[in-house]
Amino acid sequence: MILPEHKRLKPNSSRYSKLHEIKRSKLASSSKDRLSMATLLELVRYCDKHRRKSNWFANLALLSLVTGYSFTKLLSNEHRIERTGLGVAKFYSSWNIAQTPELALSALTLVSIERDGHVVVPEWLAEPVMKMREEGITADDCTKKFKFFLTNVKPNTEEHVTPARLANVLGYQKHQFGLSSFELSFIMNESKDTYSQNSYIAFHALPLLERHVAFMEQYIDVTDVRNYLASNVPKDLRFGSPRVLTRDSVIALFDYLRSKLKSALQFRYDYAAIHNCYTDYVINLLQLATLHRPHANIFRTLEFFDFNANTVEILDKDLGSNRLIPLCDYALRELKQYLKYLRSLERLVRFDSPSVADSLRKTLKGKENLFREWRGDVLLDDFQSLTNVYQRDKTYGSNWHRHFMMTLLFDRGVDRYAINIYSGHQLKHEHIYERSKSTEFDQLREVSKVIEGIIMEMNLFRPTNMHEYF
Amino acid sequence: MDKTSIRRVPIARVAIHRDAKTAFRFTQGLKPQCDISLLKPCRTGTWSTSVPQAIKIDKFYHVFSAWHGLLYAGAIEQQISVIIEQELESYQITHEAWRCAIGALAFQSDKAEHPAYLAELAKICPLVNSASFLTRRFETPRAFSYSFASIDPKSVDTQLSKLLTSRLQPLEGNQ
Repeated sequence: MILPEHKRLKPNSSRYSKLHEIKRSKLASSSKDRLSMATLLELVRYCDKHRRKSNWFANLALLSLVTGYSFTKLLSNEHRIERTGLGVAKFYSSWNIAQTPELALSALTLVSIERDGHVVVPEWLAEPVMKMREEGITADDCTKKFKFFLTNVKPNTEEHVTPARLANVLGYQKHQFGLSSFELSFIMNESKDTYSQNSYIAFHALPLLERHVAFMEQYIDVTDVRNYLASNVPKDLRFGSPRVLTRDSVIALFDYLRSKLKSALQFRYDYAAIHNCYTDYVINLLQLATLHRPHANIFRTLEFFDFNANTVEILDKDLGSNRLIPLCDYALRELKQYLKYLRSLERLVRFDSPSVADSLRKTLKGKENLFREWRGDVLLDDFQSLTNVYQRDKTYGSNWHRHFMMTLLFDRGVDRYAINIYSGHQLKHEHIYERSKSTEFDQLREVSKVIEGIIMEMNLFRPTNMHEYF
Repeated sequence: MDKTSIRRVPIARVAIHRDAKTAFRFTQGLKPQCDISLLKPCRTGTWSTSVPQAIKIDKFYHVFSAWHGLLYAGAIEQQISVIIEQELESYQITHEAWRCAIGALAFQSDKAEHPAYLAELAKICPLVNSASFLTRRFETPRAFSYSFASIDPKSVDTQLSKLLTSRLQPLEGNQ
């Protein structure tokens, strides 16, 4: 059927045209914009020949090929390149890494990271580009010349080598070298929030750099880079989030929560203190299991928990950004214990704190928030005194759970797309080929199981039968 | 305590008076020696014949003594009897409340934990170890405890330590 003229969408006039354009720019392996290996090898041969004639464009082209940087970005001073004097140059990430927090408890430590994340390329390759920068040559000055340089590459395949296609090669080949989109984003120095997960993970540098070198090795001599990695990059070097607690710190933190509860229990007459300490513990544990951000009305009401499907619906950011995630058995058990405790507490305080008992009744019916602070003679609407891990955090505790758990999940090799969905991140420019679109709920259950394993291994303190305490 | 009257009031309007709260919570920690929930309520509306004293503040009846019957839900009807008191000073309410707590302890607590509770009582409410309540005064909570309960002095410490340890039982639940 042919639509009448007035019902057809005009090209580029739809409000979706921008999105459509982005989708088209994605790197599907069948894309016509992909350069074949034959073309790339011809390009490398051509560049090698011209490099010997001191043609800087040859280095520019090769550098764009191996780093995924556009040539505009390569000539922009916003992206820092530095000579090391050891045969390699460092391409620094321009990610705006969060400030290293001051810890609120002396027993805690952070995973050590190098704030200036970088990738390394041979110095001989970067040198001419650095000179171009030093001479103030910008992309505007040489666009035409550079394009002309590339048009002279004449592969048998008759493919056209353009600056954009050159920069996209790494994207097409990332799967061959085990590089995820998240790592690609780091190498290419894309904005950190393109893959929001990058804000949370402190990742090992060496495996990433080695995979990058393996990719580069197809086209250039990487002996210097390999030597540099072997002798100058420590195995435990990490880039990324500076806010990741060590595993021992998390254990120490739960010990601290235990000591708080212990003090409250020994003076058993202060029910408010016991309630607040126990609630603090349960919230922290559930945050660890669900990657819930610190937020007002944390976990909201019981209505958002499904005890048949063992799921919870979380809203920890703007309205409309909620997510449904599975609850692991461990978290579920703790939650059920807490509910038993609330029922017991409600019976216990019905005469000496009737207002609290009334609030607990509403909470248990799912009419009011589940986690509430006992202050004075009343339960507040939510819990506002979570233990701070980072100093100067306000009101709802610190966002340490996500940094810690996402880093551990990454270390355990959990699928980063599944972590992404579990943590409530949506990929910018997501398109139909991205794996997030086909992530199944069962994969989230697997993430949840890994999280449970991590928590179990830490053997965290766990109060039992608090409902029988009083 | 003039101008008193006994009234049937809805259980939903009964609360423990603020000045009696600690004494009430102290008695909540005691264990009755039998299953009181088996007892049928009597005329007071609870299993106990004692009628609690209360002061009416706003719409609530704030009980400050004789709350034995309130402690175990099985024996409570929809309405209970309370004695309505007028204009009592705070110290008078506290005094009545602790006297009730001592009574509860003397007659109801598990005998094995009796001295430990007595020692704790003397610690958290020194007023109890005074001429207001006792015919003679004891130098320490420990002395008070074993004299009052007539038991081997050494076992007071052991029992108090056991009591405190038992309270930390929920913390022993590591996986």
